[in-house]
Amino acid sequence: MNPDVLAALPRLRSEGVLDERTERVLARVYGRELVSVRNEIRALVSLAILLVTTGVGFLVKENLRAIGPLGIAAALTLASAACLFVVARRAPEFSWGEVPSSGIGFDALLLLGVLLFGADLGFVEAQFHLLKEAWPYHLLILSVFQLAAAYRFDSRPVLSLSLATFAAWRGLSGNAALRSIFGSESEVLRANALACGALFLVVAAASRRFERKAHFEMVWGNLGLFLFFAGLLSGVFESSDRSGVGWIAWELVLACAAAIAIAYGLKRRRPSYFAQGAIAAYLGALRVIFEVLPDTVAMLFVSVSSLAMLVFVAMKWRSLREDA
Amino acid sequence: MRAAWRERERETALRDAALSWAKAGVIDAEALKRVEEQTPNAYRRVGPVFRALVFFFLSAAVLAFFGFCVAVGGSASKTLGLLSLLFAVALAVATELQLASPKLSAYGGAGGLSFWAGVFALVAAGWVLHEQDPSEAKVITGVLAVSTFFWGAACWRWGVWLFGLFSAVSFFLLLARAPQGRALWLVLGLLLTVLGARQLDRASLVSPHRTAFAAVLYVGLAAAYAAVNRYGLDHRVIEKLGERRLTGMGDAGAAGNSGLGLWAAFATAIFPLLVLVWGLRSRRVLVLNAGLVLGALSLVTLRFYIHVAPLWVILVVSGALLGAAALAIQRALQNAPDEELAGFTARALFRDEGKNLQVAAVVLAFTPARLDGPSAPSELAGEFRGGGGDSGGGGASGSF
Repeated sequence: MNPDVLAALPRLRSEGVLDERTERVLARVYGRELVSVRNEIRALVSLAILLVTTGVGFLVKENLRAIGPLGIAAALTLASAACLFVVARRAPEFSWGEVPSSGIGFDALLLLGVLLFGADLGFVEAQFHLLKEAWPYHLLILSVFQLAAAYRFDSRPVLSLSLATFAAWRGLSGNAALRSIFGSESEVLRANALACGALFLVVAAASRRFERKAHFEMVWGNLGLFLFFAGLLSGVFESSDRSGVGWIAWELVLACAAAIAIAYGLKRRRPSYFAQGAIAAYLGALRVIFEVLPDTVAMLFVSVSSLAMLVFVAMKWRSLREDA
Repeated sequence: MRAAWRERERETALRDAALSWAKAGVIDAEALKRVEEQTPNAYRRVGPVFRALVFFFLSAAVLAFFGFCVAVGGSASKTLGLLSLLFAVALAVATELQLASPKLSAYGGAGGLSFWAGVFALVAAGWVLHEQDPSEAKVITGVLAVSTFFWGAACWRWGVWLFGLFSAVSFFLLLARAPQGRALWLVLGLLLTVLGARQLDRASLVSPHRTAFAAVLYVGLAAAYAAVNRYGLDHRVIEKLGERRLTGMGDAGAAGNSGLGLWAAFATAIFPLLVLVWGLRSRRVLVLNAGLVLGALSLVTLRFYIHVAPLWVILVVSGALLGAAALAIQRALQNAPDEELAGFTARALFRDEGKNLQVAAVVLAFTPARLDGPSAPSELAGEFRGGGGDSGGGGASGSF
């Protein structure tokens, strides 16, 4: 209930902003005579999926010997296939455009089916070692499967899952990305972050350019930028650089990438691109400040430059969409 | 809160509502324009990304400047205390100045400024109390008392609802240190719940204050539930929070089947049901949500004491039942006349569906983790975790 809005409705009606029917409906909503529980139902369904998948994990762990690996793998396969079969039957036709959701139940079954397939694949690989030394490739297979499901059934959550699984295949996670900025990580990991990030950004651009699930662009773009900037920042803060100047090259690349992200974010009204670019540029600048200035002066400079960034962000926010 | 700020908040509430109507197609662009003309002083709301950026850079500026002052002035406790006091006053003044200017207040930095004013005020209070009496217990009690008062006053003055939450939490942490902490949690928790509920629809309040009272209601309910929960009683959760021992009670589980223990078990079961009934009867979604969360906690408590079935059975069956019940409710609402049943509907009704939040939640909850190293496959076999997993490559949401 919102008394401020409720009190204003009769006035809006008398001034002709609202018609009588709309005013009546809005008065019911803002007077708490009609209440939506849509988000609550969605939250309950998500919780149910979490409970079921966690329960399946415990089932496998506790009953491996009693049921046997084949029985468990077969049960997981059947459960996953059943979910995805129902989803496939109820799914609307494929389109490269955005397809409206078929409902909360449909989304839940899709997610459950994909998750059970992931559990199945992980279990089979762990038990039967089908891929042997190449075992991490099961994550790539899972990622491709999730990608296909995301595109076929137009699901942003499943696409995000696919990209995160792909990154996990390359040894990357949100945790590792942060560690790579503030700790010393292997060059391989950094290269993986940069390559993954670049790949995701290319697909983001292609999605938009060729209008193939263009509404997925932000999912690709956000994760791509996150990984790309994490890789660049790990280069900037690399402590094992013996030449002493290598970080400057990373700084230059980071500055260029941040400038592009900020400019593109402003041009295309992508607040999250703008934000990631601004924060990456700022973090990169910290290294320069502390390299060049004594610590005490550097503190003052950081404070002043933070205020400068604040003013810059405030000046530019109007260029972005207002619900940014 | 100044009269001008209150008026601005009211205009903002109306403009926000009109924006959501326009988004839902209930009113056209012309009607939206007329509402905007009628609300000239309303804040141009900025979204979460912008607010996070402002808070990030503002915090960096404040903390770096504090670091500079410490580096120049030295890190003796007196210097730190005085500096904190100075920063608290300066940031409070800056908050006032920013809110006084409609142009500046639009950027939403007042929340960040007032937050750091509060943090520095608490550090300064800790220093003053420590100077008077170095006893750690007394300093903590004093800081909690100051925290309750400061955040409450800050919420009232500057209209940041989160400060109301901070104040209520500080208040109950303070109560936990009293000799009858548990009884006080129960009585005052229920009292604050009633008080919070009564303020939710009060027209004389502005929107942030009503939201703050909603937060107080949640904290009150949580406190009252914690006071009666059987697990909380047996494990003396409140007493541990207050760093005290429960008089006349031994280690965990000592309540056993005593009258108090049985009463707590009954209350653990009945409390969420009462909250749910209240939520349904009053059609308050926030009370309904609280009832659902408390119900889940009571089920976990039940499972802790009574092993009716293996854990995986409980999880799978409860998950399946929960999912089926949620979908059945949705279907019943959709099939009802006008998609309404007893004043409830499954339609969106201008509420944000939180699509980006869903994406982030899915990634965080379900991304599998890669295990590195030569022994990884066997580790995977030993620690198989099904569909769950650690957080993956970060939130890939549309716009956060």
